[in-house]
Amino acid sequence: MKYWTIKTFVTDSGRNVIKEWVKDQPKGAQAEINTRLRFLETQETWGRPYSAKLKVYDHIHEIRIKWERNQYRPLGFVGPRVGEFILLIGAVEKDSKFEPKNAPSTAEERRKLVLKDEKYAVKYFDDL
Amino acid sequence: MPSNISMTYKEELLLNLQDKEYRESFVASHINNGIAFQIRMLRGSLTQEEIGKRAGMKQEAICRLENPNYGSFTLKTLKQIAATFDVGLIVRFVPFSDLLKWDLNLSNETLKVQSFDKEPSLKEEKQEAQKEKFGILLRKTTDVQTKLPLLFLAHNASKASGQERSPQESVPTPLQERINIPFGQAG
Repeated sequence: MKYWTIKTFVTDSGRNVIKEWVKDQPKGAQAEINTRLRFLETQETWGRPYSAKLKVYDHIHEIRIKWERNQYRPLGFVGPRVGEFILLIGAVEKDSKFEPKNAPSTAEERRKLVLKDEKYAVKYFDDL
Repeated sequence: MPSNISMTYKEELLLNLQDKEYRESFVASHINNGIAFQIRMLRGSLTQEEIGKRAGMKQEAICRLENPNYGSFTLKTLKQIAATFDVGLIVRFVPFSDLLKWDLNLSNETLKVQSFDKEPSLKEEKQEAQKEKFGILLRKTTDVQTKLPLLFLAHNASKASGQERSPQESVPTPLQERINIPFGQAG
């Protein structure tokens, strides 16, 4: 049984921004990010050390993944359906700051789009 | 491949596993995540401090072990944790096909482990093993019980007819006895 289905934001043109972001990372980091997301789907409750809420946007959560010395922070939100978590943007944390800097605000904009229309979210793991 | 052409997760994983760096990290992340999430699940509603006391470790150590980003545990610590929760621990090398299957079947159930006392299948298996053993013993005893009177009867009959068989001669079964009766004399 899996408690969660992780989905990702897709643009109007169908670009899967999270998959693209993951593919831009080193291969080792890609494996770590994918495996972590697989495990998170099996866990009923999240929270630290796996994830944390952002202070600036209450609905946005960061997933806390470390690989070598890099801290990966894909941002997302819970919903719109029960048991769904939608990844909205990929970010990296350096010196307690996000890269890209506007990652939280972009996440919030995209969250609103997903809430308006579910076509903006697709499954991250297409298990068939 | 553009991101808007969708691949199944399995296809994607198989493609990623062609890369050595990905494979190495895949192995490491499965160990790190698996151990951390399983310890958290095994702890259940108990606090890290309580488990720490049982395991002879500090609460901070349990906190680190539950963090999938940590990944610096030793086999000694893992054996200690296994003993604390009274569960088994398997550390072995496997082909990637095994790891692939494990990843594809990953679920809350496959990660959940029950302690020795709470394993119902183990109790059933124990009972089955006892039943099996008892069945074999019973069959052996029944064989002896059915053969002994026959041996006794055959011995007495041959004694009465003065044709005592030598020990080398086999005792005929009731079926053999019947077959040996000439047709005209039957009944």
